[in-house]
Amino acid sequence: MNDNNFRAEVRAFLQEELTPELKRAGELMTSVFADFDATMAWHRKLYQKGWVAPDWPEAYGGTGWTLNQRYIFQEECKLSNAPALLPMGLQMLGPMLIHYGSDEQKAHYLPRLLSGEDVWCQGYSEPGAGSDLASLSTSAVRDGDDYLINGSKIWTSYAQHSNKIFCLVRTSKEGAPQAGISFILVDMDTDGITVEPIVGLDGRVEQCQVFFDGVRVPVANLVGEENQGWEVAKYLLEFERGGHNFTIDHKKQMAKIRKQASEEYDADGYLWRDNPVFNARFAEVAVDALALEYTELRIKGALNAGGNPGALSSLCKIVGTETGQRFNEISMDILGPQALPFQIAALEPDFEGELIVADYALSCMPEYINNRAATIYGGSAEIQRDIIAKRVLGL
Amino acid sequence: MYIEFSEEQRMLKESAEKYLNENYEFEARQKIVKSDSNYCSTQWQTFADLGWLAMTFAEEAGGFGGGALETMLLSEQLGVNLVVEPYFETVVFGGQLISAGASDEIKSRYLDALISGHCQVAFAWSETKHHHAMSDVAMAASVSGDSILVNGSKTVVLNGAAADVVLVLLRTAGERGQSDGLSLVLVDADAEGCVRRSYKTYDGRNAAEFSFSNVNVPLANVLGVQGSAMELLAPVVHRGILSLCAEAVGAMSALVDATVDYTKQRKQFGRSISQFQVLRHRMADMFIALELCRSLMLATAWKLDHNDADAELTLAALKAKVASAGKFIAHNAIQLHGGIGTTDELKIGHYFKRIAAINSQFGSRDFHLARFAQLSQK
Repeated sequence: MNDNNFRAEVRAFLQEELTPELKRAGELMTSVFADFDATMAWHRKLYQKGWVAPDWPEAYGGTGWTLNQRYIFQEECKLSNAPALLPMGLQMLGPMLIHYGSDEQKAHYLPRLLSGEDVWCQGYSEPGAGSDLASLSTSAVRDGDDYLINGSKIWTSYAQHSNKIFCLVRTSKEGAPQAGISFILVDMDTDGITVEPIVGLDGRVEQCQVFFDGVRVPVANLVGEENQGWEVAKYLLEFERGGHNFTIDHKKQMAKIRKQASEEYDADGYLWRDNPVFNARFAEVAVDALALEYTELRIKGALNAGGNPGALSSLCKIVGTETGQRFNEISMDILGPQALPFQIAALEPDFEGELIVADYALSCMPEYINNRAATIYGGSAEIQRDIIAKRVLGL
Repeated sequence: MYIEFSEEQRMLKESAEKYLNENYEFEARQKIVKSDSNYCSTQWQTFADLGWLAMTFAEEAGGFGGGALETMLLSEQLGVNLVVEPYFETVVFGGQLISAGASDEIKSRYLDALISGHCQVAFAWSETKHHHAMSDVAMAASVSGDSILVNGSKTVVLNGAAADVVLVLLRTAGERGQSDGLSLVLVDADAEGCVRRSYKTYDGRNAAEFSFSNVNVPLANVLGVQGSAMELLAPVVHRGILSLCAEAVGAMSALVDATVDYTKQRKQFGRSISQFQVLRHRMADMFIALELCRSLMLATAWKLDHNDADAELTLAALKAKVASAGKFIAHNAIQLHGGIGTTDELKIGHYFKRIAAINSQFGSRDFHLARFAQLSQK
């Protein structure tokens, strides 16, 4: 099938299945996450169609699409405001299990992940281990056929909605910090686990802290060998950091700014879109977005030719997130005080009340606030610069 | 858009890399720059013999039919080696204009010579206090019968000192600021009444101030259609800007490499300064700026070759990005080299000067950002 026919097929499906409520949930996204119920409803629809995990190998439930088709699918979903699926299971755990999991683990976990029966969260960061992830101290001590886990994980996105968590735990204090880490799968309803929500700057809960107090987990839940979790963890991080198409996000942001600039007036009574200072500033950021778009295409070309994106994925993470943040700032300056009303209920997809400000102004402030996290999660911008310095420049 | 280089294109890149790295190292370059003519005819002849001058002309004109991508590949390597011979002025601009706009008779007189390395060209358009847009030309010429009488002057004509022929942009109708009414006239640099004052430029090249008094030129020397020079110029300017930007990308990549090497060797406070994170991150940012320019450069070349609807928009983005990234990289290359980076002895400062010169030509960052904004709203 050629790409145009494929795109038409995707559009027809979206037209049919993406209900107004689901679209509204996508429209109201103010971070990488959408409303949980809408997300899972969309997940199940894609699962029924067989399209929930296009990036997976076909044998495990992938679609067998070409790289181009996968890109088109992602683009069409985002541009039509489909709620984003949760990445922790589909983008991170799944590919990792396919690579490192035992046959039993694959047979048990992958189908449940695909169907949406299991919702996974990621137990990596700890209060004392952020960018220096290998210094983590949550411990797993062998006790018969089980481990006893004690400690806590933090910045656990959507832990409040998850029934499973994959964790990095310390199984040895010998040698280098990396050498004593294991990767383990845990049921969230096991005794001894408590979840504390963390309220974000926008007043809502996306992150949690998860506490482990003598949590008993079977040894069979290890992925890979004991003390070899660091290799597994790094493999998974590559999926967390790579493969994201920032261009699609930027295109949505730019469309929103154009809408705002063609509705709102500057201090001299002209529409913002006719203000030369605004135009120059917007153009400067848009030029970087365009340069990133062609960099993503270069990566796609390299992947198509069987190559490796290499450290260009660190470049994309840095430029993609920083460019997105600069777009947020432009929106804030156009809207001025219109960005201030704190109407948190209006960000729920089923809200039926009266909006205080225009629809295009509604999510501006929470997007701006929440997007500060983009240069922190998934390897901070500083860590990415370290990677470029070390791996590309050989410093 | 997916760029896969052909065998010929790969060979061009490799041959340029190999020849220049072996025969145009920095010391050799400086010798040329410090000579009276700051131009090496032996090098130029070799460029002709290697087929570089012929590369982008049609096969029936004695060329190899190359396009924007070939121009880009060669220009990038010229930038890496800081080549001062006027490939840009004579081939990318002069040659393309003659090839696209001249009569067969003029082509056989000048283009053959150009391709074989025996004709230098300059493009004379800017005028004192009016040098940011080509439509801003006021110098007028009167047409009578079969000839044109050229009077007036042109400033900072690049390659003007070496030029055998000058392509003069002047008005045969309309007034300053109008795109219509401009004509491009080929004038023999030694014609009676044509006087030049030659000098060197800061980036090691040459230029001249030209004054024309009653220079009589046959009407057949008008390139393209009289009064419609902008139509002839537009595609050549586009490819010219790409060529300059590719040269800048070559210079930027050389600066990143040199800075990485230097900071590894330079020891202060008992260790290599490359171990300081503030410098490591600066160099990571230099690399990012370089690669973003490279992505836009590749896309622009591809789009120009494919007459893509977005070609001009991408070109404007490229020139704007090269301006800011070029400055960022050059300034920081000097900063990280410290005092030695500010001297004539090191090549660092010479890349800086070439990047500054490129930023001064064919539209500043602001000009291209405005153009980009304008084209994005369409």
